Amino acid sequence: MSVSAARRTLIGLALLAPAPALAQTGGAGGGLNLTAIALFTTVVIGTLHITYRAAKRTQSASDFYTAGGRITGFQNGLAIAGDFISAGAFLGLAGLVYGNGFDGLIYAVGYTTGLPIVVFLMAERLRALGRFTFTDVACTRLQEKPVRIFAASASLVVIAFYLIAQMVGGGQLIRLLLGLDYIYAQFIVGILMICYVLFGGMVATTWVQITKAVLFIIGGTVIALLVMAHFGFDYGALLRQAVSRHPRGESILTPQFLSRDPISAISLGLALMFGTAGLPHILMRFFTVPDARAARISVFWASVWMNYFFALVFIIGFGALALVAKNPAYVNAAGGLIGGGNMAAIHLSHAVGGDLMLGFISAVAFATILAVVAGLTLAGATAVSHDLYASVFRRAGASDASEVRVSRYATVVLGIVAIGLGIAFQNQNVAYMVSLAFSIACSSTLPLLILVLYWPGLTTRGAVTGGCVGLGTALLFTILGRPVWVGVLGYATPIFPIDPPTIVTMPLAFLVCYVVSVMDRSPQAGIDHQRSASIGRTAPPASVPAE
Amino acid sequence: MAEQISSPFQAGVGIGRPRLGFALTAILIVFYFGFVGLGAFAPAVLAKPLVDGGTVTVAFAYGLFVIALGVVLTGIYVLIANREGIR
Repeated sequence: MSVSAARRTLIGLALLAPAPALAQTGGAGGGLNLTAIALFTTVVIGTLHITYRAAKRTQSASDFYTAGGRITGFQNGLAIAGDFISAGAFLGLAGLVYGNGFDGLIYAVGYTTGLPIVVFLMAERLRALGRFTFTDVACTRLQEKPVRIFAASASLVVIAFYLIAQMVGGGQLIRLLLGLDYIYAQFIVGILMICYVLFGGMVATTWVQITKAVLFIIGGTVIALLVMAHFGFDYGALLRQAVSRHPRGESILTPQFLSRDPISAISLGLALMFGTAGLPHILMRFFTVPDARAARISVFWASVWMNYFFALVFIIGFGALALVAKNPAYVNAAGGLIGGGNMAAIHLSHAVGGDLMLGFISAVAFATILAVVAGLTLAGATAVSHDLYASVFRRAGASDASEVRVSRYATVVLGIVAIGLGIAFQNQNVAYMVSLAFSIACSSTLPLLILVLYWPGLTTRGAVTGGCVGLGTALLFTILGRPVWVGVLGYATPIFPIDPPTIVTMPLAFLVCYVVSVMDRSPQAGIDHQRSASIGRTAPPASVPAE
Repeated sequence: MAEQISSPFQAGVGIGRPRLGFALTAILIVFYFGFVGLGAFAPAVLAKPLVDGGTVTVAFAYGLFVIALGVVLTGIYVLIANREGIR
């Protein structure tokens, strides 16, 4: 039975392929939307211009690192918030609420718990170590080569899943706005992204993130206000209309999937809460301001803006349900959202603010996607060129020029991989894909980082074995679970039932790190212990005298 | 390089504020997993309307509370840490 069902799903997927043609006739209100496209182009070019100007002003590599010193804590806070408010998360969250009601808000709430954890447990220790990337921190205590290989691999896997989310969001957006086929839309996003990395680079991301965060917060606020105004600022009335539009009725006002599958629910909770602390490209953001005081202030502002934005999803998500669902302008004959499930917020912006709002929100969302994707690609390219190529395969012999060349190649390859993944995962919700990246980070980079910071007994062998086991099982169970086995390969039931697998893989990674470290009698283990002792981490946290 | 690694630690004080950090983490975990746990094991509690006869359920209030709690706890941490920094 499951085989025939699987075949049916596959056929279903095949039938979906020509479906993008629908977008050409649909658009968000019919035909090509010139106002929206004009505004869209203006904002995108504007952000590219900011990137270009900032890149020109920043001549040396040290400018890049000290740039943080010239911006205030408030501005840096906006930049951190900008990193978190990825369009993938925004579009995906609104889409999740649109499709599943309150279940979608579980993700929104979960995302907001990640940043505080980083602040409480890691930021100060990372700063004290004077190291900015996850890999460098691990290398202060452990043997460099195996740790770098592991860290680079883990980073690449996490980045790949995060990239998918952004690529799918960007592709659906371009398809909806320009009426292009999804495949072409993917190529446009991919090529623009490669250009962005090669010309602008990471140098200007801080400014783009600030600009974008401000635009996104303004845009989100305006949409939320317009939605509330539509219902006379009565949230209950908004919810009543949303309930009347959703086939599951009243049940969308409370979490549903949590009680259906409690283990997956707790697993998801773990992934959302602790995943952030394992994301390589997010951790770096805490060091753009050199003095600790300003860094803390920036973190506070980041949490204010980020949490405010995710709270807006309470209005935007249900607003989309109330105003977009069953509206023939936005829904196709089969009842599905035109342009795909991730486009609920985009349609909502048109429903309450017309073409202007549609163009504005699309543009900000797209600029966000480009910025986030560029940052991710660059982090991935650095993992390949700096960690794998320069440090491991060529030892210290690699010249700067060849390292830069490798990173260029890596950027292009990653761009192509991203396009392929974007096509494979095109029907997935993007907020859900982000949660998968979180779950893998939770099981690979996070255990290693926590143990490096808090447990002197960690050895190289323990760290690498535990990290690899966590990474491997998280990846395997994700492939055998709902996201890939059912979502991409089209089988009816997943082999591994828990989705995401964090509740199994995260403790497993910690356990393996611990057991292997304790049993490690290799000469390297002795060196590791010596190094951790010389670093001075002798007292366990509980016995530290009150400061 | 060695200097960079060792100096902050040899100061002898605890690195960062582990106790404060752990305490705030614990608070956030309790309330967030309280939310997830209620949804998983006692969904009826979250499904109750906030006001009798209203549409807004407890789930909305609790969700918003967790979001606000994140900001408040971060604020507490930053306030305490920065005050100590001045002293």
